[in-house]
Amino acid sequence: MSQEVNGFCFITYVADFYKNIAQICQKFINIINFVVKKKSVSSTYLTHNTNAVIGMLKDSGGQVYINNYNKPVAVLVEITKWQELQQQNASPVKKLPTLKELERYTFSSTKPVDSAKIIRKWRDNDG
Amino acid sequence: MDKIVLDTSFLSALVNDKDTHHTSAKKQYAAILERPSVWLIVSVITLLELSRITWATPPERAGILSTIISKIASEIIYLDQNQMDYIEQLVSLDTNLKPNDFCIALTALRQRAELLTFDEKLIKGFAKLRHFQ
Repeated sequence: MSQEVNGFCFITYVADFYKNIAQICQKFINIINFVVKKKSVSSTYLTHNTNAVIGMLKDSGGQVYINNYNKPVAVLVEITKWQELQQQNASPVKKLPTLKELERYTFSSTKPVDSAKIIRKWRDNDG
Repeated sequence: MDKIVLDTSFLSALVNDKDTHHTSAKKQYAAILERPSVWLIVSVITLLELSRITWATPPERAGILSTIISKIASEIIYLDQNQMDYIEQLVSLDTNLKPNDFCIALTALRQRAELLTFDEKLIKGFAKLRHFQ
C-alpha cells in the first residue's frame, strides 16, 4: 500500500484486492458485478466477504458508500477512527502489551471455540 | 530483528480465553515478549478475518482490532498489484492453499518472517511454498 494512508486509500486497496482475487476466482467477479448493479450496501445482497470489509469499516467508525466506478469497484469510506489508529500505528517501536494486559479483555461469549478450524472453513469456502 | 507474521488463528486464540489454542498462544506470545527485538507483522487479510469472528460482538471485535493495530502490530501489510500478480503465479503450484492463505504466506515469505498460526493446512502449504522458493 502506498504511504498515503487514509481511509479512502485503504478501502480502495481492499476493493482492488477483491477485484484481483476475482481474477482468480470467477465467483468473486459475479459477486462484485452484482454489488455494482445494486449500488447499495445491503447485507442481503452481499457475501460474507464483502460484509467483512463493511463490518470492519463500520466497527472502525466509518460510513460506507458503494459507487459504481465500473472497474475497479470503488468503495468510498469516511473513516475517523481508522485514521486515528493508523496514526498511532505510525510508530514502529511499540511496547507490546503484557499477558496480564491482554487478559483484561473479556468477551460476552462463554462457549469454547476453535477459531483455527472456523477460519480454515472460511478460507476453504472462500477460495 | 526477528520478524514474525501473526496469522488470524494465532491472534484470535491469543485474545480469547475460550479458544482451544489459547494456552499455546499465550506461551508463544510470552516467548515473543522475551525476544530482545521483534517486529510483528499483520496482514490486512487477518484484520478482515478478525472483523467477522463469530464469538465476539461488534464492539468487542472493534476492541480486538484496535488493540492489534495500535498495540501489537509493528506493521500492517496491505496488498498491491505485485503481490496479486505473484499470487496468481503461485496458485498453479500444488500447495492446496486458498487465496487468503497465499496472502498470509506470501507476506511471511517476502518479509523473510516466521509465521505463527494454528492452522495445520497453512503450516503445510507455507512449508511447500518455502520449498518452491
